[in-house]
Amino acid sequence: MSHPGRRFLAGLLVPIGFVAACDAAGHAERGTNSERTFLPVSDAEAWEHVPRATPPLPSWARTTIASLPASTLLQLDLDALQRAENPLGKELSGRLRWTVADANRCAYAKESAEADLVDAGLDAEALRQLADVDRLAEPERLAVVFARKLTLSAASITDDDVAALVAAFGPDDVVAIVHTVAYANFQDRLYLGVGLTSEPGGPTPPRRTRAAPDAVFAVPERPVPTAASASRAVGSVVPPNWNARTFDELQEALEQQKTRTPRVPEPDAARLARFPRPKRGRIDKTAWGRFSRSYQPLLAGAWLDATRTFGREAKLDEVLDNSIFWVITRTSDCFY
Amino acid sequence: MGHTEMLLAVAGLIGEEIKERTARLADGEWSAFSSSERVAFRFASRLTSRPWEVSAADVESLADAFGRLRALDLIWHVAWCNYMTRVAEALQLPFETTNVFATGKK
Repeated sequence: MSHPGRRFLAGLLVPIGFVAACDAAGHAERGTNSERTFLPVSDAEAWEHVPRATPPLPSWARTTIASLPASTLLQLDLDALQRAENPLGKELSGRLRWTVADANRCAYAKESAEADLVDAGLDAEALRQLADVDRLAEPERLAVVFARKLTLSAASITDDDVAALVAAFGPDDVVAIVHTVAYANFQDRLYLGVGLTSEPGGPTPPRRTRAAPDAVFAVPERPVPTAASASRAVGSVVPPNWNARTFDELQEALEQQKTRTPRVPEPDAARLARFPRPKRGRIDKTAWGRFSRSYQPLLAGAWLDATRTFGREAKLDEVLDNSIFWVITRTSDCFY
Repeated sequence: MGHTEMLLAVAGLIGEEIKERTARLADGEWSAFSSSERVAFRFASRLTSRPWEVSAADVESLADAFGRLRALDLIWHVAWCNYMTRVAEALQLPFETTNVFATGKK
């Protein structure tokens, strides 16, 4: 009997009842032979011999896991990758996450980044000086300044800004910096959106779940809201403070983006050739996938796996979800 | 066409519908949209530009409009969009000339 949930068995977070339910009926057919010296026990009994740990989960995961179980497990795994196995190392990646959290005024994420920085060897004095960017040596200072700018005013980043980073770090680490900052911006908004300010008992350490993106768990139905609740919610909608670009100017900018020279070199064919077919073709389909996965296969691959899983679990209305995406690109003054 | 427009095409809208919808989104008033959509757009814009200002009342409005579970999905989605745009913006990735999502969704 095969079940996607089985792929979690090497991980830490498999509900025991789930495994038992999967396997209860599957093995009677194997039969037993009373003549044999060595007899297998049932699956349920077998798993009792290797109880899985149930370590404390961060509050955000305990907030999202009921309605987005597989997505939450993948995000826990990505969180651990970003924090403990980031190609930039624990200190620089921790400084970047702290800088983003500081810019977004996200106390929850700052607390977590500080715990990781202590783990990386920073003392109390160094923690107190995190905001004092000028104390940093190059090129770390450059990366931290870039992280703040990418968080608060991404559209104001210049070709020269990124060229200086590439000269200092090389394209692989620059793409890692970008994905680390982007992920911190994702996390901060999730934490702020669900109203988290502090982790009771202190930040939880990074913990790999090694979750499989195709694992299937029960996801609760999303009730359809009534017209009455929608009109109660709307209140007064204050128009956003967007810049003065007209719709036609936005369309023109999209056209120009088709011939834009990217800020890091086009990845060479050998990088893409590391991926098996047909995955290679999917990765090559968009510049976003090609650049991200060629330069940072670990971070970007885990992110895209989590993306697909979220899409499958949430099943958002595609017109609404991409209209929201459009509003966000406009709010950020991003061509995307 | 940007990626959001390409994805609207994948969602089933045709060229003129996409243009009309994005033009209405671009006016920032959103009066042509339903109450729920306006709540979602306002929330997305705020969580993007000034996430520290998102209040319990904002979240409550979203939950009133969409239900608690769907509201959580939308918070996650807005956060997701903020990842995607930062990568595209930082690296200034060029757009594809055809709808690359037409045969497979994101």
